[in-house]
Amino acid sequence: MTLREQLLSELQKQNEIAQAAIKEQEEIISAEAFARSTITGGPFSSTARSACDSRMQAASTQKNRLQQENAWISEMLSKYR
Amino acid sequence: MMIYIGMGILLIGTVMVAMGWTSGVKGRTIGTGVLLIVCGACIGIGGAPSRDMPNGSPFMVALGFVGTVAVIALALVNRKKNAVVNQEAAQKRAEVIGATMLDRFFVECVLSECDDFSKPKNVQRAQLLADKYKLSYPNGIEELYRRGLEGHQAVSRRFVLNDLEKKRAEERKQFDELNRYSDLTGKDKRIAMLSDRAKELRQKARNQKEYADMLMRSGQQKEMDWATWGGAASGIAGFGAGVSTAIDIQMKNAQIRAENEKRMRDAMPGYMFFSNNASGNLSNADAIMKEIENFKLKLISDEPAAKLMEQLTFQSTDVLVSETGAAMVCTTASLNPDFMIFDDVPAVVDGTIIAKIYDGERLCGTAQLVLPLYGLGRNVPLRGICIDCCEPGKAYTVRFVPKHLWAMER
Repeated sequence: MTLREQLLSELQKQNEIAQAAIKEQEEIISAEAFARSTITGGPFSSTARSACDSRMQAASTQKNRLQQENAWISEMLSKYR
Repeated sequence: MMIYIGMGILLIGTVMVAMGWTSGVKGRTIGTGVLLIVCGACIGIGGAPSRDMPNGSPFMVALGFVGTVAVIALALVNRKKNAVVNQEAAQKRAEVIGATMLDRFFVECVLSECDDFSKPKNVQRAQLLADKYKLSYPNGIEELYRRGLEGHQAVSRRFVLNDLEKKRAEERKQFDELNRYSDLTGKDKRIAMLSDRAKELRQKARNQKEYADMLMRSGQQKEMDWATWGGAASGIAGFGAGVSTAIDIQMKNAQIRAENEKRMRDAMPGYMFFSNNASGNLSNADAIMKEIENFKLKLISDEPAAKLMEQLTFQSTDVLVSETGAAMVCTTASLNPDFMIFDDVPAVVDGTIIAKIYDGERLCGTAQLVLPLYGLGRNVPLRGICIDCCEPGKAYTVRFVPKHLWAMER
């Protein structure tokens, strides 16, 4: 394996790890959206909705952070693979 | 003098509480601040002479000082611990590809195939890349590249270590799974296996039922109480407003009902699918529990394990060694088809067999082969794992010995 191939495989692996973490956050967002849609009413419905919203917001922030961190790796892979 | 020292500590404590409160309620800072306030108060009050105690209270002063020293010591220990944690985190971050500009420069140099500096075009391209990543190269571009190469070795090592750690974790999981029933004997083994299976099915059914219910509930809106709202409006703005509000709410409720019904109809196929699966799993779990009851009446012979071992044959035995040094022993075992207990009762052999792994004549390790749920019949594949006992690329041999073996009515 040449050094170039090794680096490409390392980039690929790191990208897979990042994509898995991003997917995990996306799953949290969709699960929270689903949970939010199951809130039908009741005295605590607005509290429950805002709790879902804040968790969705946190997951979305985390997802953006991961995407930013992975931007350079994605760029390298698209440019040199 | 003690009063001033006490007041000083008290003041520091107060400032810490205020800082902890204003910077997003930090429990630890506030806690330390409160402790310092208490200690400061102890020193100040204990150090002040009174009519009853003209020398003050030395005990209170000592208590205050001990508390203050303890708080300072704790803060120092915490600081040291945090420094270690931060260092480890920084180390881990640095071991990710592209974590530093130098690493990015090195990686892009290699990827763009400009790492052969005998060619002037490569030197220029590398210099452009160094400028892109805002790196200076006072000792020449080659020196910068060499530093990048050296730095990247830690990243490559981390990749290899991560891979090995991941594999080891998987192997440990597999080890636990394969050896879960290795210490159970007699009917207990099969009962434990069946009970676990029934438990799994029940859990699965519960999850499916919950999911089905959630699916049905999703998107459903609650209707409003027209009488309450109408009554309230009537109380506030008069009879006409009450009637109008009640009618308005009734109309909205009708819309909500129609929408709820439509959503429920849409969710029905999914609900039916998960509900049917849940009831299928539940009935399977019930069948297993019935099987356990029937199984308790099966006969068990007390033939010695060594004798039972003679009834078994092993073929296609392999030792597969992974790069972590774990050895997976795979074999196909068969029981003598004419095997009987109590002269005329057809039977199976059940229990655990130990595979001893040898490198020539040297024993390297052992793997436990737990026989399947219904014991050993003909051509049953068996697997066992031994962790950190072999070297990849070497050939190993296996000898089988019994751990617990018993014969049971088929």
